[in-house]
Parts: sequence; C-alpha cells; structure tokens
Amino acid sequence: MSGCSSKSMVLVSLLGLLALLLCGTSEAQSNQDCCLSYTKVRLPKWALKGYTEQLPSEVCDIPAIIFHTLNGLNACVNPEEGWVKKHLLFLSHRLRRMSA
Amino acid sequence: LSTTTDLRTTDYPYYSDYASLITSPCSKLEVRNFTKAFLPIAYSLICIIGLFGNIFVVMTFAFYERAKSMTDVYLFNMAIADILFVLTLPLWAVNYAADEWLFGNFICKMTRGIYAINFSCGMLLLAFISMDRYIAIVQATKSFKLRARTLAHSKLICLAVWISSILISSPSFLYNESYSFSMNETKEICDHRSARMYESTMLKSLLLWLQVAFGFFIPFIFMLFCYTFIVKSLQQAQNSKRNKAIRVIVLIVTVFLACQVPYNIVLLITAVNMGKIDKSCDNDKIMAYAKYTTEAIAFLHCCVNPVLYAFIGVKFRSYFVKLMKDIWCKRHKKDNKRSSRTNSDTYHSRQTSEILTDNGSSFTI
Repeated sequence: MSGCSSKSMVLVSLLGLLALLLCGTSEAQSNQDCCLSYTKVRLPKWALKGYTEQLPSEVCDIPAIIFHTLNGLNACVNPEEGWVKKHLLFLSHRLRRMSA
Repeated sequence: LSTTTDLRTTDYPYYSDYASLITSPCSKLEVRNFTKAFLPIAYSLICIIGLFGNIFVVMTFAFYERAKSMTDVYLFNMAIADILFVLTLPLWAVNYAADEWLFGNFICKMTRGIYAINFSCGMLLLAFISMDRYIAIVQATKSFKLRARTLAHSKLICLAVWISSILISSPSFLYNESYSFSMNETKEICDHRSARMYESTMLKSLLLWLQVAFGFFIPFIFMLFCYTFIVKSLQQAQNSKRNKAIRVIVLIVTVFLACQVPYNIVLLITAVNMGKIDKSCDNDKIMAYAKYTTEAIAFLHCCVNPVLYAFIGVKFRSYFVKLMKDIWCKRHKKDNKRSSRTNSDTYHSRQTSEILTDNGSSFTI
C-alpha cells in the first residue's frame, strides 16, 4: 500500500510540476466591451477621428484596431489589412501635426 | 481635387449605410449592469457565510487537544485557504459595484494570486482527503502504520501543498495587472496582461485548459477513484452505519460536481473559442452571464466545505458543541477537558468496526 500511495504522491507532484511551468488561473470572460469580428468594408480616411488599439495580450481575445468616426461610430478593423495600416499611418501623422 | 470630391460622392451614399456595415465592439453594458447588481450581493453573502463556517472549523481544530487524523489536518488547511480567499471577495464586490478597479496594482496581483492559491490548494486538499479516507477504509488492515507515518509528516505534507499551490499560482501574480482599458470610456481594470503579444491568445487558452485540468479533472479523478472503492468496500461490510457513510460520500461528490461542473464547462467552452474571429456578440454576452453566475456557484463551494467535511461529522460536531460550551461557561472547562480525554482514549482503541470509527472525527459514519 505504501508503494501505491507514494506512487500517487509522485503523480500529484509531477502534475503539480507540469502545472507549475504553465498554469495559473485567468479570466475566462469579462464584462468589458471587445471587438469580436472585423468590419468588412473600407472606411474613408476623412471619416476618421482617431483610433484605439485592442491587444490580445490584454483582456480582449483578438488583435484589432478600433477606428472612431466623426459621427461617433466605433469600427473594429483588422490591423493586418493594408488599408488599415495606411489609415493608421495617416492618423498618426495627423496627430503628430496637431500636437506639434 | 475632383478625385477627392469624386471619392466623397461615391463614398457618401454608402456612408449612411456604414452604421449597418460597420462592426462595432460588442457592448456588454447589460452584462455590466447585471454584475453591478448581482455580484456584490452574491460575493458579500459568500464572504460572510464562508468566513463564519471556516473560522468555526479553524477554532474547533485549533483549541481542541486530541489526536488529529490526517483528514483533520487537511480540513484545517482548507479552512485557512478558504478564509484567505473569502477575504478577497469584498474587493471584487467593490470592483463590480464601481465597475472599476480602485485598489492599485499590488492588491490586484495579490487578490488574483490568492484566488489562484486557494483554488489549487483547495483542490489538492480535496484530492488528499479522498486519498486519506481511501487508505483508512479500503486499506484498513495496512493503514495503521501508513497513516501514523503520514500523520508524523503532516506538517511537511501541508507545507508541500502550500508551496506547490503558491508556485502553481505564480503566473497569476505575473500575468495580472491593474491597467487602464479604453473602449468607449477609459477605466482602470485588474485583468490579464502579458508582454508577448502574439502568443498571448495561445497563452490565455492554455491557462484556461490547465485551470480546468488542475482545478477540476485531477481532483475529480482522485475523488472518483477513492470514493468508488470506499463505497465498494462499505457495501461488503456489514455495519449499521454503512448506509449513512455511503450517503455522505454521495453528498460530497454531488456537491463537488454541482458547484464545479457548470463553471468548468464555461471555462472549457471559452478555452475552445479563445482567439476565434467572428464570434457573435449575443453568444459572447450569454457566455459572460454564464461565467459570472457559475463562478459564484463555484465560489459557494468554499462555504459548503466546512458543512460537508466537518459539521456532518458526528465527532466534530460534538467537539464543536463542547467548544462553544467552553467559551460560554468557562467554569466547567475542566470537566469538559476530562471527558474529552476519555473520548480520545476510546477513539484510539481499535475495535471490530475500526474502519468506521478509525476514520476520525470528520468522517461521520
């Protein structure tokens, strides 16, 4: 019997070690607003007021850029798309100009 | 110039439609309204009930001098872990009521960490308790030496449980942070945040899988294995108290499943869907509701633990009543102490029904 219990002790400690390397408790779902999918259409540059970044390393799941439009809409867009990158460049230039 | 006006005129007709074409962030305002109303109440109740029950358990075990079984030691440690955890709940109640984390980065890391420690510690202890009972009942003939030996090392075993729980929970200290989150409004939140950006979806779902594996499946497999054999050997034994023992075991397993299964199903579904694009907002909201509700039920487990494991035990209950009497009328303290010694003497004498009486105070039977 002592063999069996020490075996299970070893099992427990091994599993503990495995978990130790990687585990932890994390938030499964949150009550924060997040982008879940991307806008399919392109937005015109002139309609944009600013942007926010959604990082998957934070509370939300997927990477996204949120474009804020002049009429108060928030559009989730894919940061990997070419036009989004161009718009971001444009917006950051404009922001720099405004701050300068 | 003409091209820009062209662009405008070609874009403009669509522009009025953009509202329908644009994918906005999924608004969880109604979930926040729900958590604002429900969680502060639920957490306060769990905190109060859990604090009382577990403090009574700690008091009874701390003040009563008698031979303690390994299960008693585990229960004592579980009560301490539960108290630690329950004490962080008021902070979460305030967090959900204010819809903002107000306590800074250090306390954010501490509360998340303590939650994780309690979780892993509690589950490890439940597994160990079922193992101790298994050894006591199924391996009764060989158990005396073994149990005496484990009891001698009880402090060492508990230290190992605590250290491993702290180590297991270290990612919670690492990956939780208080930071400002801006979507429609900017506010401080206490949540997951890791440095590496592209592995983070995988990291998050891995953490969830491991939480389910370590926090649910492993203790569940231990309990299933141990209690199945216990019930089997009890069925063979001819004892009047046998049916009650089986009922207690069924109750323990049922409560464990009722508290933990819903929450772990939600965690599993979330882990499977983690990082997927084009999730529907309605489904996400339903999952958020489900998560907060089932989590509260899972938290309830630490209020039920003292009742299930300690107060159901006839001996524990009688010691508890004695302790209360000791506190109320100190005059009779000496008499009570004397009677307790005779109690523990009979406790040590191993008789034919040893499998049932030996098992210690906590396990009714």
